[in-house]
Amino acid sequence: MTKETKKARKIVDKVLGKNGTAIYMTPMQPDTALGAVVGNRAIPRTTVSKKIWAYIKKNDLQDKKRKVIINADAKLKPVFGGRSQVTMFEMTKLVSKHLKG
Amino acid sequence: MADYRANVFINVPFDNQYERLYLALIASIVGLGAYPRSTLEVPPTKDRLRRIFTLIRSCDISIHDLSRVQLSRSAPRCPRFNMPFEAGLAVASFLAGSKRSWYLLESDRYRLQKSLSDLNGYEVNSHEGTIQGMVAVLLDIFPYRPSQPGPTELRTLCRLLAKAAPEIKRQSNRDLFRPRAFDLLRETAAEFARRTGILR
Repeated sequence: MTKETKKARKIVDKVLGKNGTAIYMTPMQPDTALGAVVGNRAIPRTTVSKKIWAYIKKNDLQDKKRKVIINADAKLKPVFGGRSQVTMFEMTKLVSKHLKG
Repeated sequence: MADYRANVFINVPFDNQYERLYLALIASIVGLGAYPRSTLEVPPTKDRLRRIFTLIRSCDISIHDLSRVQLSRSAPRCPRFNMPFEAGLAVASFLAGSKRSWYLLESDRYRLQKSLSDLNGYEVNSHEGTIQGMVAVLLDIFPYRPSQPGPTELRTLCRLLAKAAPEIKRQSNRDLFRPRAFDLLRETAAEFARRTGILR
């Protein structure tokens, strides 16, 4: 381990605190609407996001011209609160409503 | 499109007003599994230009953010040409047959058409001066892979690195644009990415 890696670890410890990573790694339970996209098992937030992106890419739902726009299909529409288009940055807030800790 | 595990040369302004985007760029590149490189690694020796050229050629991708090429505030008022010059080195290397990819970043998509019309016809990626824009541009540059973090994770990583920045600054003579700070930023971003499950 390099000197820089050791220093980086100390800095990360300081920022995240003792249980800092728990926020990101705690499994969250998706509701029925989100479960239809990411599955019904409890998974960490980061995995939820990765699965949604895998779904978007697989079904070609990213707008061709404006790539920050996601076009919702029948499964994603309920997750996005009935909207047919959202930006990739709005998704987090909308998806969070479908997760329980 | 860029490859993963790639060395990414970042040609960016070393000025305080660019700090937020600089942190976002490093965090996002690390989050996408690549390794940022910079002229900060090149010591200020007589042979610096040759070393910079060698570094650019050794990297798989180069990203050139020309959004802050503008007149300086103090006299004599002139723009710093380092960034367009280094972009030129990367383009020359590409035109001479190198397979390395290069990408131009701007805050305004049309500014470069006016300031550097020789590059008309090449795509300019506009981050609009925002972290969101920077993340979106990098997601566009790097091809999708199933384990790739989404924009949310990358923004989380940007936020965490920004939180760590004051401490890194403190350990690097109050300046993030120093070689030591650059090393620490890369390592810290990678550590955050591992701990939060963004990078595995």
